[in-house]
Amino acid sequence: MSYSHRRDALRQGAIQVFTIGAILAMLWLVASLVRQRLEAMGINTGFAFLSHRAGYDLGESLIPYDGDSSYGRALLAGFSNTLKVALSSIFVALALGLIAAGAMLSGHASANRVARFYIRTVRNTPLLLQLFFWFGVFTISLPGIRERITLLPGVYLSNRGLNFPTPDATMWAFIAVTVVTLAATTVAHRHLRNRGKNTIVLRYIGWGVGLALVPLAATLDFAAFNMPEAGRFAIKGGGVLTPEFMTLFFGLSIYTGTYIAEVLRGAVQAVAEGQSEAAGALGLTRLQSFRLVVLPQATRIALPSTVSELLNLVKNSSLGVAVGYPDLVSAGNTAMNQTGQAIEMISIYMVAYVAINVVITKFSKMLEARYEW
Amino acid sequence: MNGNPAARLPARLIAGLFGDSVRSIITVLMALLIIFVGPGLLNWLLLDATWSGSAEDCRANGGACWAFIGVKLNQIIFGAYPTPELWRPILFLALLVVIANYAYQRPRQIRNVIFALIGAMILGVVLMRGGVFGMTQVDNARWGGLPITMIVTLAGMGCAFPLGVLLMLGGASNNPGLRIPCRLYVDIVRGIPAITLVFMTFAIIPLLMPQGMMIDKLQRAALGLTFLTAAYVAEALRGALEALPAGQREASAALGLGYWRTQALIILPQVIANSMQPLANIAIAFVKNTSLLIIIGLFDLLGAARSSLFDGDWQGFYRELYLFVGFIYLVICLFLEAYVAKIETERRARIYR
Repeated sequence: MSYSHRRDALRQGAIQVFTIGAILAMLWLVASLVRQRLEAMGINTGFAFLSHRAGYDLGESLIPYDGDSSYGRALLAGFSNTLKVALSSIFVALALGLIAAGAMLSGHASANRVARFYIRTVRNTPLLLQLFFWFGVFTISLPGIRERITLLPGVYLSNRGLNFPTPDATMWAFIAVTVVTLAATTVAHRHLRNRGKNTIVLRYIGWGVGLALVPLAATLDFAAFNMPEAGRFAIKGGGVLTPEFMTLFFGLSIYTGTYIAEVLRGAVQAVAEGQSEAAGALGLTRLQSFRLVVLPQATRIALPSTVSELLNLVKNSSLGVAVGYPDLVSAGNTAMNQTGQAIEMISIYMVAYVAINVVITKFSKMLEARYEW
Repeated sequence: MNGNPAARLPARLIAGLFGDSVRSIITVLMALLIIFVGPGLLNWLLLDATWSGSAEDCRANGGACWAFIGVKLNQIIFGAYPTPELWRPILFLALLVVIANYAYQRPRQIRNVIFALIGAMILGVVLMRGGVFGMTQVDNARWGGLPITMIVTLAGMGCAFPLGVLLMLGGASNNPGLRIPCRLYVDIVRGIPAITLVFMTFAIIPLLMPQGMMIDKLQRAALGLTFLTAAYVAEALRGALEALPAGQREASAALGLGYWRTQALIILPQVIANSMQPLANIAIAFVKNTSLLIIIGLFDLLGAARSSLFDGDWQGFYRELYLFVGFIYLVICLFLEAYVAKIETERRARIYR
């Protein structure tokens, strides 16, 4: 090493030590300033508040929660609501994206125009505005309980949300047995077939169980459901999707659908034209070439961007706070206002959303590996 | 697919609509859509609509109540700004329209446009605040509507861009003491919802200020959006930076240029030019994100518009309101889209002449 090189290395080392020192000093300064200020304001620090009584209600929750529960439980309930709305919207957003992308790729002029209109208008207006619009639809435009709309027997739509019958315990048991049997026979069937074994017996068992379930299902009547009962001021019994949930569900699905449509369209168009021409030369029909040649390659291209759009959907579900849906951020903000512990609260948000990020990214990496060629 | 160009128009039309089974199904679906949705929508939007009059007229006609927009126009666009002083925000918006027109006419004069926008923003703040040149002072708690959306967008994007450039350079640095914090910042901020960052600046910045000094709500909110957007800018630029051939840096080192001159003269101009499209998307996202200000109680365009719904006489006309406001956002965002598309075509034409 020559002298000048050694001098450069020394200089670089000095700069590195200096920057690291400067950043640490700055962080320490900020932290001590904040601590001082918080002490002066009489605000506690640390996460002890999580076990204190929350004392506020959330409109809905997947886990048991009431005002006497702790702040920690309120956040958990909020997180369950975030997952509920995000997971249900993801499927509809994907479906809408597929339909719109299909319409744009169909070569059908008017379908193309309708899809593009949907994408341009929805993408270029704030999601929050769309959520306010849907909130109006579900709370102002829908009729009250007395003039409720009956979609199916037991399924009511009103400004209190969508009420529907839920299966009772026997019904759940019946559904569980059906699902487990069918899944088990399918898995066993596939397993044996892949090994070249004879599967005829298994198939008979599958059919037999399936047929046996039909008369059983006939003996169960509507009594096996918890039916919603409309009172004068409220609908009791059964399940309900609240207007807040529906607002967020519609808003997120429709908004994210436009982004997914663009990703999918781009991916299909990115598969080189030569691929489908070659498939045609091999004698595949247009549908076959799309299904067997273009789609697998396009899926591979589209996966990373699709996943990042779905992550955006999860993040955007925090806008539920604006329409009163008790998601994580909404539940957390009430806690933040009551305790003043903003820093702790925000670090909880970060951990929660980064955790979702990590899980979904891992999942997509697994999928990507399956589509590797 | 489109058949013989010599074929008669009806034949081509029929082939286009019913060429194969998929086409026919789509055509039927489209026809059903038009038949079932079209007339109702047309009636509501135009034929049964009320263009002027009172809320009672609207309810009697049953269609859209555009009269509501007419009556509340000032409140929707300018919020609670005092009516006799409205010429000030109007002048500001007019100035922006003039700049937008100039920008679109001359897609190569980006630098002039940036200077004009900075000037317009400062002038806009002076106009809105008043207190000089004999204008009465208007406290910014009374500012509202579209001018706030525009000021926050201009100031926020204006700060987020240089901050994003620094973050990108830091993230590409050889110095781990600089690289790691920059990358960590970009990744964390991109991973959390925008609204949590706005809340954070809202709650934490006052704690960092010296006693007795306060940053007002509007500035804190704009700062939150700035911190958010800087991370996205850094990420967009990083993509273009990685695509840049190493020879560029090597050639500049061979010319004897130092680090800052290499970045400023060689790297950044190319990186920025190559990431116009993602930067435009970030700007569009910023305009849309200004609507988050409503959640912390500020009256941006969406917030001011929503407050007009609280008038007891005019309750329930939310559809008209959100369609109208959505249309304003749409115009702004589509303009940005078109402007960047024009810059891009212009640039391509210059490069591949």
